[in-house]
Amino acid sequence: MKTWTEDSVAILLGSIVLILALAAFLIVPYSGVNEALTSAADEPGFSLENWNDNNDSGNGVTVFLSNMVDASRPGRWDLNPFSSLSSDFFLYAFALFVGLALLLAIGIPLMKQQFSTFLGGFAFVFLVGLLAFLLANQTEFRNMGLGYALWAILLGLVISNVFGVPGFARPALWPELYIKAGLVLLGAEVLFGKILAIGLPGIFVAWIVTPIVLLTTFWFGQRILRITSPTLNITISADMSVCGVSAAIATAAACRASKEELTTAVGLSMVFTSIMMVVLPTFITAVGIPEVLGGAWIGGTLDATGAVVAAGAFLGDTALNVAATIKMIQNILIGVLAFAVAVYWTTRIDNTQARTVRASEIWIRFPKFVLGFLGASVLFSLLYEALNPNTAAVLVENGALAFTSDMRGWLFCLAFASIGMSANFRELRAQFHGGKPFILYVCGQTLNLCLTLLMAWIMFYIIFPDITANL
Amino acid sequence: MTTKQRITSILLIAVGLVALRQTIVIGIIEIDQLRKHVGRVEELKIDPTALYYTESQVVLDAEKEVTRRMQKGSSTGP
Repeated sequence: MKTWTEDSVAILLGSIVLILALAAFLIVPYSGVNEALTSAADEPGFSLENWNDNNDSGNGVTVFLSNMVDASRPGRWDLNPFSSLSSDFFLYAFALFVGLALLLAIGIPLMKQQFSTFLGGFAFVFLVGLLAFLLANQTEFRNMGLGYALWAILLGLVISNVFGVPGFARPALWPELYIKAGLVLLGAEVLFGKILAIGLPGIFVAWIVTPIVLLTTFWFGQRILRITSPTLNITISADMSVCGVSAAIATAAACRASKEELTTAVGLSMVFTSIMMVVLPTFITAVGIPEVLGGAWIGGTLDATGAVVAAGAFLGDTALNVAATIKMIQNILIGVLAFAVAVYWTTRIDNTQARTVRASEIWIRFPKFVLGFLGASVLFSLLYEALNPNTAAVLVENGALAFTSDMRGWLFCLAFASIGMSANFRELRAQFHGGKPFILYVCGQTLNLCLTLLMAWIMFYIIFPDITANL
Repeated sequence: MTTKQRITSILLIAVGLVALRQTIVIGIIEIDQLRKHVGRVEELKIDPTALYYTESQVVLDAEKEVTRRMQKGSSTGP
């Protein structure tokens, strides 16, 4: 039998999780929930939120699956980490480990690897992932936006540089496989239909400024700073201009950046986001920028979604709503970005002789997981639009996607732990030589701040003031 | 790496984590803006570590609220 590539296995694993989610959360409960929602919606004073609170759309299987990916993460804690570990946590963490191991038991042999040697190492990587979630849920760290991605990388680096990675764990270090399978799941979350409902000002702020900043920063890195690695340059540029860690992961996978390059981009993003999350709303309040404009500015410039919400909330409810909505529109760019970077790298950067490449050659070089990502996105977008909006919100958004989103978080966490354990500390240090990644990030973010503020002002106060008045 | 170096490294990492946590705690006590920021995060149950919009219920609610207000505005006219 032919050996499967990492991309094919990632698409297969992602598809299995998506099919499972659709079967359990949409197909089985569909008729009952749809009927109940349709009749309830005809009643005066219907509210989806109230309906959700008073009705249980789940069954035994969906409750178990939801708990498996959610309750398997340690809870919040202040000083005593053991206080976050309940008996439910151990039960569901074990169930998740078994579930992931069963999933990988399908994929690993297809790549002609021995599953028995993989399993012991996978248990180790999984434990590091659990520890990363534990640290991310410490109250102060969490409030400052220091999430699992950062802790997983740091723990991995500590293990590899202080103790050395145990030999039995090495067969389970498959960062690209975990990342690509996670990205196929992320594709399902990119729902194109959502942007149409939100309106033009946000689309202009998120979709005009972002590509300009991305391309200008990449050009600046190549031509002015002369960063030797274009993959490092594009990963940092995408991370800073689009949506932080998620964009960095997608871009790095699409252009085949090294583990050290992705680590550099993620580290820069998380540190700067934590600082900007507090500094930006403070500045907006100090200079008296209106709430809608401040919210739009935050939504278009801060990297991570959670940090955008926290910074927007500081200004007020309207700023929070505008900031969150603009970030959501920007998040959707991730699919276009991954596809564009994959095509550009295949046809231009990897094509060192600058000759015309045949379609078959492009196909061989093209990172195939991007197709899984786009396929999942198109399928879920069509499904979301085809369903009754209330049914789609209950069964797709709060059901299937809530499950796949948590599952994706776990796969990314395993990926970052593997990256930390297989990244070379010397190469990582070499990335920062001359401070070029730092300069690139700061200059790109400065441009982003200026252009986003200008575009948000033009859109919300000059071209669409009537929309701003309703917000 | 020798055992002594490993123990020293572990101690340094542990001290680093405690120091980071304490710095944030002192910052929250001493800096007014940081205290307000953390207050809002706790009050609205925001997860500042969420990477993508589907991970945050606050974002999904915000989207619905913005859509609702815009539809309401367009249906009532100027």
